[in-house]
Amino acid sequence: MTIGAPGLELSGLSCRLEIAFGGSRATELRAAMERAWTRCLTGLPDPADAGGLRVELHAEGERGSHGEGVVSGTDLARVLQNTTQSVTHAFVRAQAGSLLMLHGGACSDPVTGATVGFVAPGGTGKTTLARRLGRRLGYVTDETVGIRPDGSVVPYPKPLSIRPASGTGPKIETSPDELGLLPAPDSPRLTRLVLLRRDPSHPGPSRLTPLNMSEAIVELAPESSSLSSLPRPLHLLAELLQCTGPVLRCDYAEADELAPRLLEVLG
Amino acid sequence: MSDRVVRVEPVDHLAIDDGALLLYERRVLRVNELGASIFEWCEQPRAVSELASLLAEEFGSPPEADIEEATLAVVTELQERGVLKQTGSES
Repeated sequence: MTIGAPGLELSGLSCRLEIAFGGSRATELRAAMERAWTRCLTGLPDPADAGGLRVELHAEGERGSHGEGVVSGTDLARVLQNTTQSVTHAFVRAQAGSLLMLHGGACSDPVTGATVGFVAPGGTGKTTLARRLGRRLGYVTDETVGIRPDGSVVPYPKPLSIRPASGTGPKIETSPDELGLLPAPDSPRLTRLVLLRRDPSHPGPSRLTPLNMSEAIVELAPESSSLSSLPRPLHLLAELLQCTGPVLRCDYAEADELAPRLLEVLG
Repeated sequence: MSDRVVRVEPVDHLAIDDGALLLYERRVLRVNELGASIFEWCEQPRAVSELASLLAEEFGSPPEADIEEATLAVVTELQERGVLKQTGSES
């Protein structure tokens, strides 16, 4: 059985995406989405069209839809988690060739808009860091840092995927408002990039090492999305890094101690 | 060595102080000055002997090595890294 619920428009990474709901628990799902995506419910000027996504929440034993552009299931937390991933993929696809997109988080000075981007593969503490920094700085994103050629940063203040207290099961999609994170300023601008390199055996406190231009580009490229779709991408990266100064590589063992280091970096 | 080599066109390339960066999809390769020069010359197919002459002219001959053997070593490495490919035999 399918009970309709009104659609929802999500905005982020300078894109818009239409969510359509389905399944017998569609109303419950829509309410949970509204709670989690509070910072992405306001329309943006001139957004890129990221298309649509159908999300369904069913009762046990019900059959859901399958296929591309559909997220379906009976476990609310899992459907929400998969929806976040699908929305991110849709936004990234829509901005291929327009934005430099790096896998990472970013937070901005609420007054000056100065922004530190922290780039890292998954599972290395980006969300933890965004939560910590977001109490002092504006939360821009914990997943994909979108940067225009002029160095301005495009916010994607998605829900943060928080591990449940039990330590098992799907992550809980949590609104940055619920976590008390500060909003991103109107015009965030990239002022520093930090490459996070987690090594559980790293001895002592975290260490920041400036990288030269070529080292930085070699290390940033694998942490990017659709880099090759941009016009003259290496030149774009080089020009960006000339404005921000050297990328800092941060070797660390535990994400807990990173927030103060990154606040120092931003000055 | 009679085969000619030509460069595999990257998405973008950027000159740096001691060589060049070459972007292939999401992979960025760093090549040194010799590699960067060979990459530039191989916009058109080149024989290894021809590249050896160009390298000798640009950088001088290595003191205790055969220039063609040294060139072949660099060319082979660039082929293994996907920067160069063979085009066929010299006529």
